Amino acid sequence: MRTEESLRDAFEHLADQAPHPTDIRAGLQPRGPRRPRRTAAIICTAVVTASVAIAAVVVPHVISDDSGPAAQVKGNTAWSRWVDLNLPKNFKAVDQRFTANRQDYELVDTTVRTQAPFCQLQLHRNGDFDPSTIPAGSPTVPIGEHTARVVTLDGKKPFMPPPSNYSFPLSAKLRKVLAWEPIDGLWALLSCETLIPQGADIVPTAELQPAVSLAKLISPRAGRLGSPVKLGELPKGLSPQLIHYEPYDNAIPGSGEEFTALLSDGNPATGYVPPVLKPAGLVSGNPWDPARGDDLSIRYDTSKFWNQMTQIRGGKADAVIHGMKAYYTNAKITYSKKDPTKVTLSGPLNTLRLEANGVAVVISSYAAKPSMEQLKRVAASMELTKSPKDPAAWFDAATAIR
Amino acid sequence: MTFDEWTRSGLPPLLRFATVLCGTPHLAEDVVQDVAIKAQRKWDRIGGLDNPEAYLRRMVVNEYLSWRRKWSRYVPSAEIEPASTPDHAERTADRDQLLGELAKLPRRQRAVLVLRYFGGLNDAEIAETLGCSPGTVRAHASRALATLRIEFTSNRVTEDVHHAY
Repeated sequence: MRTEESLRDAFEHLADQAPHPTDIRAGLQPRGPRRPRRTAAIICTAVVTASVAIAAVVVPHVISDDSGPAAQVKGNTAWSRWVDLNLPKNFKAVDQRFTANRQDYELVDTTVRTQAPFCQLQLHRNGDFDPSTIPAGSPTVPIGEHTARVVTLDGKKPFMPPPSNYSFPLSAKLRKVLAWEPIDGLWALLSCETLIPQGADIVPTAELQPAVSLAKLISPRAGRLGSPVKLGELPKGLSPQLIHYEPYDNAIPGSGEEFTALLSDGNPATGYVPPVLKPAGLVSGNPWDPARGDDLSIRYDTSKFWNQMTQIRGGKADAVIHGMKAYYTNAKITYSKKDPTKVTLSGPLNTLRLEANGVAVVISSYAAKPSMEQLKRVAASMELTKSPKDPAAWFDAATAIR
Repeated sequence: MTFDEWTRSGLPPLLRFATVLCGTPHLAEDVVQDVAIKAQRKWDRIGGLDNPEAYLRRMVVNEYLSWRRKWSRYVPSAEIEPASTPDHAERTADRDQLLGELAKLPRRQRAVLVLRYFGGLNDAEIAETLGCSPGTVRAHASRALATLRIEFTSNRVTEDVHHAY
């Protein structure tokens, strides 16, 4: 005998076959305010400091998180990890960047000497990625409960322009990008390559399998991002725009924790102006270089060359802040290529540099020429971690950076 | 509620509703796709309504009825997974048969049943959704239930149904 309950049961059964909303969302035009994409193609002059050399090979720790889901993150969720990467031990996130609606991770297999896969992971939210750019008919691959699209690019179509200064830029002629939505509204793009010798050449070759393997490990669980500084007084109108983190790895002599916050008033017409691109022979520059329009950078560094200014000035400081020697100085410290012991200062006089106990805190202003007193107020109002080399004990960036 | 927020929270249940209404996930996806595109353009108005879900559900019903007129080749048919165990075989066969008969109902009768037994709407709400009188709704329901040979167990069917939508 059929009853109304039979009807409800049949309807529920039908409802369970409803399609996933991904394809519909992909067909919709992105809406809402977008943060201007950071065009980060910054090429610097041939000044290569020893710190840059260190940064180019720095290899940090496995990402882990210790907090609950995203909804439980207090403060600014831009400065938290939107997913748990659950990286295998052989993979390291050597470069991590966080902005309001995008997070970037450069992932490298550090256990393979040659032909090591290296990958780029991007996370986008709030319409920062337009899923309608995924070509129709792209093949799919299951990623846990989700379905990822495999997008093949020919290099002329920059599906996922990376941040500047990546140590391992993707350059294969044909790239393969996994695109999926690990959390509703959060898009992940992941692409891997391997340098494969072919005769006398080394050819970057896209590899899908490492990307699929890594993607399957990513957990939709938000995590905490540590910050070694808690910001205090800031010049009026400035707010954090980007956090750049390169973790320490004990396998690399001289490496350290490098954490940079870039702040801006939101006006690209003021603040930092990237240097004009110069001819060949120059190398790409500092990983902590700001983007156009940034007005202030605050860098926390425990790498080997933390004590550059102490060495240059012979210990003669302009002030003492947080028990650290503070120097009002130029932006760049340049080592002679022929004689690394010869050091010169260059660039604008816009920096306050604090050094002590294996830590350098470098505060640079790119707006109008800042006075030492202005920069000292920024430095003095900050709170610094008591555990410089233990990111797990750092402040929660979601509240410390604001 | 912004449109983006709605696509996260409101789109999945609307797809479930549309799948039941259309009888096939493929047609449901097409219908909801069209509705979502229209809704996005008019979200400034829809998002400010007291009950945007009801408005969107009405759009889906109208689109379904419209699609059924424009695309008569789409005949709602249940896409049923095979029974996993013999114990469920008989029940599954009954359900398959019921879904097959549902697919043959006139579209307005089917819409009334879906809105009432899946959507949890009362006759007045269904009438408003379909743009007809409550009496017409009751007539559609009565004929549909008779066609499907479903025993009518309650005179107040809409008060105890769960709101699956």
